[in-house]
Amino acid sequence: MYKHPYIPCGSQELKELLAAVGVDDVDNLFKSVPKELFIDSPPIGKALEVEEIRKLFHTLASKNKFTLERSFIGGGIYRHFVPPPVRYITSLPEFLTIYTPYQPEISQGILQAMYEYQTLICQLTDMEVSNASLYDGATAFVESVFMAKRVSKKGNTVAIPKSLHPHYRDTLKTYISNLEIDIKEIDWDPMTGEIEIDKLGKTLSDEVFALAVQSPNYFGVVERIDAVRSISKDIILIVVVTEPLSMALFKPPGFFGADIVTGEAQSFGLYPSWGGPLIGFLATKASLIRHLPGRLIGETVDKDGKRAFVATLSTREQHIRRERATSNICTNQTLAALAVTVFLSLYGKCGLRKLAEKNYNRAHLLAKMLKDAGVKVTFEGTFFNEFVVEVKDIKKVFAKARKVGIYPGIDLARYYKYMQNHLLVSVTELNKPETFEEFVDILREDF
Amino acid sequence: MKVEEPLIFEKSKPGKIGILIEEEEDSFLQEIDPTLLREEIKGFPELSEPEVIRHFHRLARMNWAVTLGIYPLGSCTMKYNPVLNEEVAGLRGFLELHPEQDMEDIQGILEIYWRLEQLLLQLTGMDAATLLPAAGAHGELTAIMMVKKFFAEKGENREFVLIQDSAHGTNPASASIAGFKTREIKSTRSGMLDVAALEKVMDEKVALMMMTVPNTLGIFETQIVEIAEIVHSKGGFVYCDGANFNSFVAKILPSRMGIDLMHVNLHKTFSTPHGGGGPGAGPVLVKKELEPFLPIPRIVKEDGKFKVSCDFPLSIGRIKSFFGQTAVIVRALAYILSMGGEGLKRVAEVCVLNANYIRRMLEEFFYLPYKSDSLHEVVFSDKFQREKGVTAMDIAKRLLDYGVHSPTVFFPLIVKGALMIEPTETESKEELDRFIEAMRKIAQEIEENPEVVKTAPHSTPVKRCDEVLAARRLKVRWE
Repeated sequence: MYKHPYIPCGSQELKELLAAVGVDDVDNLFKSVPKELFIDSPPIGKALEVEEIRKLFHTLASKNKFTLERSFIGGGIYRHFVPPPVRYITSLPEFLTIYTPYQPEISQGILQAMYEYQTLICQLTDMEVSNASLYDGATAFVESVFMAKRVSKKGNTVAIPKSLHPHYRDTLKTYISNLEIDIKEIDWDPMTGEIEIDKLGKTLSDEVFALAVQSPNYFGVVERIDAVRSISKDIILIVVVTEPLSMALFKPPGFFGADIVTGEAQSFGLYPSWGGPLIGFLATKASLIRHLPGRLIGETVDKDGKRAFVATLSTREQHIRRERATSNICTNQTLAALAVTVFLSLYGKCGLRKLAEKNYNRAHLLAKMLKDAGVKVTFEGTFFNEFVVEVKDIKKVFAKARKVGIYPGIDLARYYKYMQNHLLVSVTELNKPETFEEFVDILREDF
Repeated sequence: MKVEEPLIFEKSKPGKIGILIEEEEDSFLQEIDPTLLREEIKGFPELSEPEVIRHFHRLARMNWAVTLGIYPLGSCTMKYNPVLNEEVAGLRGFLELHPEQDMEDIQGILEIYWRLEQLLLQLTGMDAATLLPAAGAHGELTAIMMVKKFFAEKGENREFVLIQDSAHGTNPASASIAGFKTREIKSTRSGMLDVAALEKVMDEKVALMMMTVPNTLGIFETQIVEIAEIVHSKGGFVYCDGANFNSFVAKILPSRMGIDLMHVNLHKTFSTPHGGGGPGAGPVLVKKELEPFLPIPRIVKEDGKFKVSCDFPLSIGRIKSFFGQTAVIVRALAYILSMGGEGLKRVAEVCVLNANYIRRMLEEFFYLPYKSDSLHEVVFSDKFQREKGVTAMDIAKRLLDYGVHSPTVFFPLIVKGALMIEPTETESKEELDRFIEAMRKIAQEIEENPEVVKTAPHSTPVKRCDEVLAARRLKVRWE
């Protein structure tokens, strides 16, 4: 009999179990399966021992290169310091190895943590209600468009600026290709990088049920949500945030009356991890709670009147409402939401503001050094920790940077064909001002 | 020992910080337009690091976990999560990678994606794969959208997806997001799909038949090959919800059943931890004919190098930002390599044996609505106990007092008062017996003193929670 350390059933237990069940061989338990479906021998090779696995994965990890201080890549995933307690708490088996809290009486820990997560997201966005996480910012954005469609009875068109994250726009296009929803794209102001406010009124015709704006947008520019809101009063306003740290410094979308605030919370305690796991958040007004997708945790009492937490309003969800559910999501990103909760609890009111200021100051220091060196910062709009610069020959910039082990940012032509030689530069607290001179040199020499 | 813990906000006191952060020398804050500048975040917590650690440790103690004992939630495959996988997934060479990095510098992670794809293809017999879907439901939706696009390209207007009445709720929910209407097909009294009913509804308007194999009753669809033939004869596709792949992995090839697309749950069959309800991952595997429609980006191998490619004109497009749930994918690869072919075959055999042992030991005490052979899970109902006014939910709650997690209750929907039990292969006989003993005692209690069951649980951190009040009051944040 094949023995494996992850399978407790040894030879003696096997005999006992078979005898109790009343069969001679486990294959007798597969009698209901047509014979022709079985394979003669296992389709993959032999198991590797622990040390072989370790060695293999260390080798694979060493084939990857990364740098923390010398990378200027952002664009929807941000390099931030992950405090040790975040990893420590999310590795506790009583969080790591548990399932969706279907039995609240023995899941109060995770339920309370998710209630805290929802509260933190509400406080940060200045909204009234948050769900307990979605897969990532892009799918959360799609869910918010679907939600807006359910809420609004008018029109089939959603208006979206081209300065919204390209992956988010692509994901929406995939999802709506089978539904009766159209997209109307909005340009940005070439001077400021902000959404073209002047033309917005005309864009928002009767057909438009929702307007989605990202702030800071894909180019890092903080949008004038107050102005946007005043033009879009009669429709659902969705504000997408991919760098949520910005909300610790700038007035949050809820302050300006956004209906839905959604996006990516990876900045708060999740490693870039080559793009996953991420965590989508979605917050809204209390009046729209019944349209919310995904799991929601609520406060209640137990039989003795003691405070307790449970998953609530599950009549919105797929396991009850099936084809009429508000979303098909079941498994979400709970552990990632826990990381966010621990991260925000550590930084807290004062720390998060300081962290946001640090990001702002470093990004502006680098931008100033670049300007002083004659490099053009493309947009005049207010930015947080990310901005666009123009270079003469972006290929040369990347080649030079590579030689000195710097990741200079994202070549915007990857997503915007007409933005040749534009570089999206992200600066976080991990970037040390000591390296800025070197960075400036790479771009300066280009001129 | 009773554990109680206030909310993090209630523990907060002004003037504390949980992380050291120095002021910056150069400040540009004065440049910000004051109308944009935020004041403090109202209500945000202020705590020191030891307080934060203790808070979450106390919360952790209120959760039941796989590391503590049996967690027999049907359909969820709550198996042991190997600690080796946590170790390798925690390597900085994976965690610190930014998805916009140069492909030259991420050959290791691309190789991991590629290797896992290859292994999943070998284990399923399918032709092409995507590891992008973030969860099982996301995988389903991806697959259904591929089918939609396939028929759109052919110029065929097929508007229906067929679904078993025992299907997971995600099946119909995903189908409707992909723009299909659903038709439900009843199960027969043996707990299998009614093939005659399928023949009646299957026509050229049907794009896809969604099957869970074995189904959510734990019963193998013995006529799966005929079912696939009927669907194929009208030009439709067959989808396999692979939530229950654990019961036949490395023993039966899904491709031999006539399946055209399927998803597998890395957080079920392939042991990645559930994390309180995610992150998971739901890779989708398809036959050659559907490959062009797979979502982008895809990992390709050229001249011994790996690269990311978006150059697939028929692709349905992106289904999320960036790539898949990378840290989950790393763990699943480590698991498959740790098990090997023989080990995985043993997984299927022992999980089926364990479920059958539970069935045999409990069938005198609980009603078994469908008598067909069980594979990896068994579904009882509360029919006997309902006579005493006790429901499956009461039984579930009472189990908590005995120090075991409850089975899934009230699902599948076709069984009134269902108790859906999936032990997995990582439980010893001793642990199975502990569960069986608890179930038998509860059956006895219901005969003698049903009140103790109806008012359960009695020894948990909180007692039975008022879910109706929660939905009525809708207090979903601290204030």
